Amino acid sequence: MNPASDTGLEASASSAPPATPPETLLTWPAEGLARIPFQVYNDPAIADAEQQRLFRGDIWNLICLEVEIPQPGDYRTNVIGDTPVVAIRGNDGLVRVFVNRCAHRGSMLCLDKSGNRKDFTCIYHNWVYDLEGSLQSIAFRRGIRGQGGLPEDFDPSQHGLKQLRMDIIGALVFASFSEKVPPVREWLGERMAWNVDRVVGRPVRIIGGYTQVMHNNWKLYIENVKDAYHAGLLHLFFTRFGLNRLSMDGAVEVSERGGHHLSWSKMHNDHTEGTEYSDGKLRSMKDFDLEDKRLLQSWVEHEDGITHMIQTIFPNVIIQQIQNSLAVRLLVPRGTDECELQWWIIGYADDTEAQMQTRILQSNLVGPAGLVSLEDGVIGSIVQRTTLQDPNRAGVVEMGGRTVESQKGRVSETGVRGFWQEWRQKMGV
Amino acid sequence: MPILTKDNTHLLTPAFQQVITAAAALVADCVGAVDDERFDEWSTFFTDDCRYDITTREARQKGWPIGLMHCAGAAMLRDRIMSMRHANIFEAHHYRHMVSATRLAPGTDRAPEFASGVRVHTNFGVTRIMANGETTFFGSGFFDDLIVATPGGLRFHERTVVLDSSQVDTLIVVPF
Repeated sequence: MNPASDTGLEASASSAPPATPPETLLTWPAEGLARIPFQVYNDPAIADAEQQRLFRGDIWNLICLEVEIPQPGDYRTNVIGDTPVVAIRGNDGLVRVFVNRCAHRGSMLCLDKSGNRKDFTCIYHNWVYDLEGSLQSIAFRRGIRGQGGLPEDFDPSQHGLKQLRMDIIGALVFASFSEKVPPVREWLGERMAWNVDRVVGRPVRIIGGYTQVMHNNWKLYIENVKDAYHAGLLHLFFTRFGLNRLSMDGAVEVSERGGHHLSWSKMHNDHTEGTEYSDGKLRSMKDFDLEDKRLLQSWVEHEDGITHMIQTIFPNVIIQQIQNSLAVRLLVPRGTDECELQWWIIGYADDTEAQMQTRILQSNLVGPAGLVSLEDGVIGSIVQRTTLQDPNRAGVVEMGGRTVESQKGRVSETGVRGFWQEWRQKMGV
Repeated sequence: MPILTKDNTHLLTPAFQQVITAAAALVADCVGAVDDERFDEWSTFFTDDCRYDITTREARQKGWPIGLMHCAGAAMLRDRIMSMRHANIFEAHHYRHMVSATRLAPGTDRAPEFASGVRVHTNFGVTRIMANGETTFFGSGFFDDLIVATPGGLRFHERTVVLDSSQVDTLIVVPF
């Protein structure tokens, strides 16, 4: 459905005819963004359409952190949706992103997660491309003793690697199949770019990383991240130790199209009096304590006093500042009912030893074994299972109203509605 | 060319055998406590000022200081159990460890003594059994342990759980 000649940039995939016409893919409930039809989590036709309209559409996809590929020839592989890609630094020092695929028969070129190479030599038939993606040599191009080989008019310049648009903001390397999407900074907008600069706008150091596999549609996890309402309820560890409560000063901010969001709070400005936190009705107030409180020690990382900042970049990137625990996460769909969450745990190149020790202790709060966040690994699956056979029923998202806009306070699902607003626009449903 | 070039005669000494047998028993008893869900006992296998980490092969190779879990001291081990019981939300499950023979860590003293600490490695595989019986192979790896003698008996002073895979299914709340 996107017949690609691998000859450099081609027309944006988003302009290719979709497999299922938008009008038959999904009928959204009449209530609009206040409802989320369960079909979106389970329908294979929707998952297929997302590959073309979303991941190959007019968005930017996170590939890696630039610090992973500092030297010429350093590469890092990843995927855009289902498509394997590779980011590599050329001899000219520039980062390029290619579909990780030989232009001959489609064999994957780089099999490892990362490494260094002088060129792309395909293991299948030894076709060789330079780091700029141009086809340099073809094994037995002239055949042997006049037998075989390629036709005289075969033009290697027409058979380079498929290169994607690339853009870098802060530490993050993005790529896009789209020729229409504006540069990353413009696409993010001023407010969203502000936080990217705030967290990864200076030299970072990778200090950990892992992948978490979850048994739910990828969108259930993204909704969870954008749902500021749940964080102070599901995650007892947050509320018990006053790390993040809905009663703290904070906000949910959404971007103009709705898809990016920021959710932040200031733990030193908490006002639980007169809320459901103080009258002891919530599960989150059950009494327990830590013997060793060093896990809770932190320093105020930014002058703005924000101690908890979660950002999503549409559709599947998360930037996390939980106290001094910093991470970048990329969510990759695996069919309708599974997804993988790639984590980069980061600090700064100029962190002191004491700061690094604090980050190491606080790493216990996040990730698959995170005291705060391990629940997020399973909550999506707990939802997914109930939605399977009820495609026409819908989730209700009316906290903070039925529309999409930035809101003070976080007892709100505006971020979730914002995601669906932009998803529907990109998917044409 | 000699038939035998590798000198492993230390394997035959009673002192070596006693140490390895004792280390293996400590490792087995500790995973037994976890598999039997005797979680109150878990921290008692460690010294008060122990270090316990769950990390990955990839993180070790890259020299990343952060893995999946880091406890500095037995109090943090107890806090993990407390959090599992009272704070964290997850579907009920338990583990079953399958452990290999315990061996001296490569490059360590061939005449080990617990008084100065003995570093041993033990491979493991862990299955995760959900309440409905669904059983999955949850992970494999090895324990990198430093075992010391204390007045109360042998204890882990350092335990690094090195997972072979950097990919974790769903979550880790029960310790390895």
